[in-house]
Amino acid sequence: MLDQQRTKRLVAVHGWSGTVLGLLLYAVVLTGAVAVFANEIGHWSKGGGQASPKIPGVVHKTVMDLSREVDPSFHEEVSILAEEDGNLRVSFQRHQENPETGRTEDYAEIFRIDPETGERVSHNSVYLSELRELDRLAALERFLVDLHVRLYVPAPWGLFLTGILGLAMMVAAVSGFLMHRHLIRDIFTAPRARGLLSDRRDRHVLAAAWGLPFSILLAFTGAFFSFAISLGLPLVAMVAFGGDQQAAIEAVLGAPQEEQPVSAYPASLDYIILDSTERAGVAPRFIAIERFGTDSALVSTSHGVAEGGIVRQTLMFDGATRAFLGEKPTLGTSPSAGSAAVSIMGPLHFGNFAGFASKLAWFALGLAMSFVIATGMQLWVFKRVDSAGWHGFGRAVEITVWGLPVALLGCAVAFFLTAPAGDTYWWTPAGFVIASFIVIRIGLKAANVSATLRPIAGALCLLLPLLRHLTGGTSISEAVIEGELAVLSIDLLLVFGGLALLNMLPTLRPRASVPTPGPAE
Amino acid sequence: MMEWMRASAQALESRAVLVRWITAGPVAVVLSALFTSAMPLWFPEGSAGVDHIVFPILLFPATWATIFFYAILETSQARSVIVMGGATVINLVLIAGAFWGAGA
Repeated sequence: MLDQQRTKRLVAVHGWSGTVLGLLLYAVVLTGAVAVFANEIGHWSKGGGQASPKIPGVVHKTVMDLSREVDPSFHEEVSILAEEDGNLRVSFQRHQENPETGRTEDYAEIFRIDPETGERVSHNSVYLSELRELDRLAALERFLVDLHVRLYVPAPWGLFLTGILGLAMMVAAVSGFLMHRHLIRDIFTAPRARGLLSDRRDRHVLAAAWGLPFSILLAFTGAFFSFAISLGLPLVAMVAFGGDQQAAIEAVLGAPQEEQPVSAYPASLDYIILDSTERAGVAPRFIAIERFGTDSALVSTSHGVAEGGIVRQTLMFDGATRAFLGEKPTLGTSPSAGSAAVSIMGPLHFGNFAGFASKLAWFALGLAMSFVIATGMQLWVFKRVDSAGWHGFGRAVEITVWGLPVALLGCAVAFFLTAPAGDTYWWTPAGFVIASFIVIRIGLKAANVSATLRPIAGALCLLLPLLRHLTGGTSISEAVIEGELAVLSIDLLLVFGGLALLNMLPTLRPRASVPTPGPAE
Repeated sequence: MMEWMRASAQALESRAVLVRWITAGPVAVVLSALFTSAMPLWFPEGSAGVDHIVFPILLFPATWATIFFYAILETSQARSVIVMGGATVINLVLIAGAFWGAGA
């Protein structure tokens, strides 16, 4: 049991850590909850697509035919990707200097092939750094992920910022746990309606107590992802490798092969796909072939999570003899505790270890964490109701809590309006900024911020499925016929969410009388 | 000598809030960075030769949080300064030794 002085210090740490960085933390956690479904949002915004695309069993002839069309210098690395729209993307790439950036980059000949007919859908020659521009309809999901990962702040500062926010969340969660004397009892405490403060406090404590292990887990894994490359690797490289980060990366990932390879006929990719599917329990989505067409060719097949599994697998095969070489660890060249530890960080942070069910749980827990942060800041302001200096912060809290969802919906509106012909990579973030500006203007003038912004969020929720359909997206009937679950689920979620925000859904019990709003509202 | 140490401890305790701000703030950041930098020098490499690089990076958030909460919860500021100062010196010596060894 902690003494009074220590508890007092923890209360101060808990409050200030949540208050100083609370608004940004709320933005990162809420966008993180949405980004759990980034792939599904991608399918929805594109009008459908396969949730787990897989490479079909017969691709060898296609790849060999294409390899004869490109200059042999592009055989440095060959890759095959099953895209969400059902096409195969076959890339032949080499390293060359990009005149625009002045850096050595991967330059690729990219063919999109219809696997059923073998027809060529498209052919582009691009630097891989420019590849994302080709997929205009991925702008919405990429914006959401970028906003969560680095708050759209340039590298590496965005990663530093979100890393610091992860540490702040860990401090708030651990201090909340340490200073709580009745954690188990509070888990089963229903909110009381004695007054606004105790009601808010009870809801904050109840949600925080249930989500405590999750919030510590998310904060730890999130801080790891933000700091690993931006800070951790340079720190370790400084001492262990004399500041040579490339040497540190090669020690972890393996150094490139220096021997001169001899030309050899490639092993059958069709056989390797069959073999890898049997070993992994699921067909590969991605295949990479290093030193294509040589006796030292190495084929790596990347598979999604098999039924009953937790992590993705990558298997290695000899590209000349098709012999199975073993499972490729996430890090290093042989299995290790470090590689195993890193490989579970992703599933734990993204919640994708058990398919849709775990994603839904992570989404719900992410929303609960957003609620905890929002009610924590509201409590802080409410306790300082007599201090005029905190009134401005109280309004900023209300504008952020309700304004961020409106701005996120606003960027989706901008995406769909520009999807038919515009530059979606420019307009999606621009839509977010414009919506944020409007929300701030409204919030600064409104007498009751939540009562003003809530119906706007509801109306935008109802507008999005309609807008998606009107701008050429898959209709509901098409989505039903083609079994596009992501399209149907997100449309339905938006409709129900919109109706709930507009108070148009029937309630199970009569609404309790709401006490007079505090100055924050 | 004892008298000087007692006077220093009293001086630290009389400025407890300031000392705690410094130890939980900049000192915790610097010490966790030093600890992470020096960890590859003593942590086992493991069977694949990557554990000594991976675990310091993986544990950085936990390292910082441990040092931060120690600084917050420690009742004696003198002990806090000795423990954190000692850890800083040990890690600095390890890092200096690595640079010296590389340069020699």
